[in-house]
Amino acid sequence: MSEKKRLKMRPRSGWAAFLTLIVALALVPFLGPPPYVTHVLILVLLFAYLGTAWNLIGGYGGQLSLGHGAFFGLGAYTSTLLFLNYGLSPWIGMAIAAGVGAGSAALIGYPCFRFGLRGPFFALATLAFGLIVVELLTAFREITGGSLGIFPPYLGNVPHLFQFASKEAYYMIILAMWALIVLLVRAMRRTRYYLVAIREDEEAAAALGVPVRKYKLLAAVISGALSGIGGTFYAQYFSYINPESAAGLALSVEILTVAIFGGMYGLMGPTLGSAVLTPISELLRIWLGGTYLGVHLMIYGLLLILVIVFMPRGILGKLEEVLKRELEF
Amino acid sequence: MGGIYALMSIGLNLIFGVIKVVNFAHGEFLMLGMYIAYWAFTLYGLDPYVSLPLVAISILALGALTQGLIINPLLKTKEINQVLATIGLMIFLENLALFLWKSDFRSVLTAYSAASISIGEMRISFARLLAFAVAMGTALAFYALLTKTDVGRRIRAVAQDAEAAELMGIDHRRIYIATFGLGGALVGVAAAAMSPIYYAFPTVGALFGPTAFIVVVLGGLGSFIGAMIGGLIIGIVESIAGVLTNAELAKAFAFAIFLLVLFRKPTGLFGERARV
Amino acid sequence: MTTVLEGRGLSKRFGGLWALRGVDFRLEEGEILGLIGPNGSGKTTLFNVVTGFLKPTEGRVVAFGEDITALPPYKICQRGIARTFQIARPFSDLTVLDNVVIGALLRTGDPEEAVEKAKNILDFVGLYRKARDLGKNLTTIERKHLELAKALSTEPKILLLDEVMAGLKPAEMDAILKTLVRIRDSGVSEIVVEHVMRAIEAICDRVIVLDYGEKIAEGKPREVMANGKVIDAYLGREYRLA
Repeated sequence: MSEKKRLKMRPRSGWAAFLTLIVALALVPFLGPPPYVTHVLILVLLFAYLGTAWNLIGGYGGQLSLGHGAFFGLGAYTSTLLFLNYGLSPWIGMAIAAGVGAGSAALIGYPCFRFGLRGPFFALATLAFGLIVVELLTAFREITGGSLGIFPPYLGNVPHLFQFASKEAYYMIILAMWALIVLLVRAMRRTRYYLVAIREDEEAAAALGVPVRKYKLLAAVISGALSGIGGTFYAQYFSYINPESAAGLALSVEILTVAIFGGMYGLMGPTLGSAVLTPISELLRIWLGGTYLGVHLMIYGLLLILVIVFMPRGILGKLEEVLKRELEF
Repeated sequence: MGGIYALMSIGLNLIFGVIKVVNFAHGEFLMLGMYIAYWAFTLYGLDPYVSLPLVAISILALGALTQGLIINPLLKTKEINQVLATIGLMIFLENLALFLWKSDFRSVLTAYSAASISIGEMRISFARLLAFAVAMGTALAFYALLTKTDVGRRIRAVAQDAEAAELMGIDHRRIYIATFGLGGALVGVAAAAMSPIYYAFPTVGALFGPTAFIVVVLGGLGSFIGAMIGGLIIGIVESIAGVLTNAELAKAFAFAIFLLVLFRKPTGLFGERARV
Repeated sequence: MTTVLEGRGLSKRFGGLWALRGVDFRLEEGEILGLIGPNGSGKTTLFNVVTGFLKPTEGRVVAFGEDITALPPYKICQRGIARTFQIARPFSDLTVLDNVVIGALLRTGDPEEAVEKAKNILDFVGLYRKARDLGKNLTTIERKHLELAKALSTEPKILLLDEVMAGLKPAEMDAILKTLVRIRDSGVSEIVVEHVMRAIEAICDRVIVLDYGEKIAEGKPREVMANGKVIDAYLGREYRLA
């Protein structure tokens, strides 16, 4: 006797919601928002983008990386230095930054997976890798400007060199980057299934034919490449980078807090997390100014603890619980 | 400094060995302890060796609270959650210190800070010698506690088999709280002993935390050799820094060694390597 | 008859202890081979060695005429050898359906197709009504069924089953026995580790017996159980205890 009946299909309305969101966000600049609002929205999208990249290896794959700041920073330095020293357009630099991000992720990821570093030990190794990158970026000051960082010259509105006079242009670029990364991760369905299996039980996954090491490395490399691309965007938008702010542990922590707070088990979790957290930390930055540098990180640390203890699936998971439906699309 | 690393590592190792949690905030416990010693000295003129019990008890309380409020509720969840929680604590404490006390370097200058003892050709700092002696004394006292007292026996029972201990009427959650507290107390002693010889600043924990991990990964529970190697690495780093006059390269070098140690001994104390 | 899986002189040493010692076995196409022996006699170790989770200290594993001894577990699974774990290992935070989809993805890159296949397999093992439940919320028996479903989802030609019937009631056992025979009839060869003699007798074409890591008997179930060595080593000991 068959008990087979139709299982509820995933809600198709998600697609419509996602497209509506993109269109709505694309229309924002035409409403003439004050520059500061545009700035905060750019940061929200940037951290949504970075959180989504992190989530591939950190959330789906369950490998807690504290090294994403390094992949990001190396990307930022790559395109900036190539432009300053060789006049290479940062658009091309961005592609090379992706390669550098991927390469550095492989450099730390491969030995970690090869030697079976899991859980806290993967976190420790990536932490150390991030610290090494910051120290090296500072140490080679003849090239990198040391801890003072680099100010690329402002050239006005030169789109082919990834420089724009208006914030709105940067906004549109990061909006596109965010939309693309969400669609990319969404399209990697088999990879996500495999990564989740690896997160749950590596041996049981291997017994089902999942090449555990290969997929962990794949996720790390893609995640690193996407972070490197994010680094180039950051360098172009801020026209200033230094080792601590572009590659430091603080950045890695911001990225992972956004992802975990939003919900690391879902596609839209990091975006939700960034939408809530980034404006808060920006407001804190204005209110408290430069005197209390670490305040938003202090809050992030506290939030991390609270979220893990009280809602480990983040706000996305909480929403799904309340609405009793999956918010995937 | 070897003694200090040993003490920190014993605390870290105790927590991992019994609770199976890696305390990422361990270095930050040290940092807070150093600040307590610093303020006790600056505000009330208490010598760090006088305020040592106070520091130890404060960090003991911090450890116990960490376990009771944060780790215990997470015991039955994924390991990654416990890791994340202690990372959160690490970030919180570090930036709390930055918020409260700024990033200034603060040091405790006692009458004996600069004193030294000459043995033949060698000159050994008196403060360092004292720190070493206190650390070793504490380590011995800790072993006595672990082997001779009832609490120590319970801790060891839980470490071996929490379920079996439960059947014998030992509440492993309470033992975990005691264990984390004890691990904290050891760090507290290390912090007090360290304050006459090193600056207190918000990221001092990030500097010494990894060293304690190296010691743990290299050696067994309180392994003397592990502690020695940890001390040696810092020694190497310091001398290279002297040659290179480039502190960043030296630090990068230290972290690179830390990485290599992790790769070489991924199993070390910490479970088996699976073939997948 | 063709041999699909063969162990040649398999040995595995843990420290000073031989968990397996010089074990030879053959699995013929379309048969169900029983693997019995007292606790700690090396049955699970043999599974781990065959499926690549442990490297044998000595000996070779040959499947479909090729040496697979050095291959990692996922490659062995890709070659059509699937296993279950003695203590079921569901992906606890995933739904039962997703648990099976992961295995089904081995043979198809298309997730939709994998989902359809997973549903059919869940239906086959009788877990369909639990498809939306999380792995961690299953009962022990449901977990055993899920183990079987996961292994089947990889479309194996050889299936290694580690005590899938332990703790089942007679009626439940009959259901699973029928399932195992149906799987065999669809062209899958099976090795079954089991303590329940009635189950072994009912479905196994041949049986091999391990004791202290060594093979002490081989043959038809009835013959083996009449073998004095076997009674001594295994049945006797257990029966006397009981």
